Amino acid sequence: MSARAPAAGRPLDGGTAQLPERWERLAALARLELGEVLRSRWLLFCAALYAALAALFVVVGLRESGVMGFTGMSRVLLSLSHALVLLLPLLALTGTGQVVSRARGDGTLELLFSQPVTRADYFGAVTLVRYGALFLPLLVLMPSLAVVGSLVFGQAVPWAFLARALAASAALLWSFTGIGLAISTRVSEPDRAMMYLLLAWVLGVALLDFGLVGLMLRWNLPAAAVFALAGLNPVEMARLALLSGAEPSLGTLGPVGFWMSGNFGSDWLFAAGVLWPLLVGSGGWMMAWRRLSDGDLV
Amino acid sequence: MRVQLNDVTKRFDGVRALESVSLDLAAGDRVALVGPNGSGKSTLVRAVMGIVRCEGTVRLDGLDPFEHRTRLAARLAYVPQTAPQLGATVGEVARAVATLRGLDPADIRHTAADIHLDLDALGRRPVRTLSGGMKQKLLISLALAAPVSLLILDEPTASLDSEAREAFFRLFEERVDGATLLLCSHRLDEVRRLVGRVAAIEDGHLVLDAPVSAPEVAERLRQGAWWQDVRDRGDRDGSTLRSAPALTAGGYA
Repeated sequence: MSARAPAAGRPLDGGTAQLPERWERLAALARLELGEVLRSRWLLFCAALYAALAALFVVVGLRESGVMGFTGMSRVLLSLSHALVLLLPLLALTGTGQVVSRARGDGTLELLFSQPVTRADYFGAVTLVRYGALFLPLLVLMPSLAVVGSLVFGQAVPWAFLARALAASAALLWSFTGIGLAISTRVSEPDRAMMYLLLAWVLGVALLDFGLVGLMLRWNLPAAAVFALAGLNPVEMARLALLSGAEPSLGTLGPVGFWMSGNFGSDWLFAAGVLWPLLVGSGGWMMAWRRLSDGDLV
Repeated sequence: MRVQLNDVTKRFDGVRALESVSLDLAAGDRVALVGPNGSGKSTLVRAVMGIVRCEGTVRLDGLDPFEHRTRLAARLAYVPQTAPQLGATVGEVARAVATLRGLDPADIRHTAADIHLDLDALGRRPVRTLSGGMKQKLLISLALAAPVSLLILDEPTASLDSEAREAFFRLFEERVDGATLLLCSHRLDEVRRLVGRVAAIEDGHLVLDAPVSAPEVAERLRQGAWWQDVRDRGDRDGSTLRSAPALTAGGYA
């Protein structure tokens, strides 16, 4: 027994603690994680990429308006969306792919779990903060750019397109947040983890149907295999969701998207393009949670 | 808090870290855990904290710490040997621990002041930018601010100067009257001032469990302290090595 009086009124069992108290713990851990994120190089990397996207938006917009005659805000946002499809998975993977393994390796988990903290509290805080740090800047950036662009170029803000783009981006970020967390909890060696992260990104951006059609022609892959691989790729599906509001053309959507759009319609394409990445991300997140929720913490 | 380990074994990917370790600490016991690097001390500490699952039984006041870790963590405090490289600031860490343990942040601030650490001045600094000694003081402040019934200290004064070490001993005696103590240390002054019993681990086995006054304990501590001295001062010309006492294999560092 300690000679000092015990802290008053705090239930000892984290599993049966009252809901407000669990929120309090979650909030405390989230603030701590936010402190980590705000002072990490990853955030700088993230900010630099988002800044690059913004610059791309301006450059493309100026080129469109100055050389070809401005062809519409949607066209510029379309260019932005293509860049997002390539960059968002990379950002999510770099932000989450080593968060748990690093904390395990440098003693952070050991110190944290010597406090009355449940595994769910920790994992919830990490997920919320990392995903929030990825998505919230985009939530501000995209509408801001659209509004600025509309003021500069005198075009109407394409709110419908923006909403679709934000939904698809949110789903794509979640997809790779889940994959990153799964790698982070399952692979402890930094070099191996980095290899898996790069592999996940390369597969995501390489298995778009344009690339797959090239492979099909080169190695005589059956068309069904190309369609299946493209359809299973969350990056491809998010890309199609982003483009689902555009005029369905083979050149824009690619063969898989064009076929899907022709057979099922653009609304279905959008829904599938958002739901499938969400499902993939949730699967990865569940894998990560299963690993973290049972077994050794260090 | 009573700590009981019975026939505890732990393997990591087939590599043995602990083998059939049994140890019983009554509530209020103060025990030092000594042994060479890689002997299994950290694994034993982690088993007691419920961070790793082991074969055999570990009980804290009759509860399995792996199954009831959150509940028991509210009653124990831990000072690791080295602080994690946290990007969060000192203030953020102190506030988080205060919230998690239901403490008034002022408790942590006052405890820190007792060990010569000004939390108000350091509040905005990321923990990873602090010196080794400051980090150690912060960890001690976080651990000793809370009323607990089990303290686990892993080389708590390794990075402290003599003045801060004395402040730590004073603070310890003021704050930790009656709590069970598990101390990992090779420092003679720490062991002699803080514990009444020593348990030695080698290659995952408990090889000694005796009062600190026992002759075999004195010999082990002398060897451990000698290795500590080598580590602290270095041995560029080999003179310290030539003056070595008769040592058991492995050495303490």
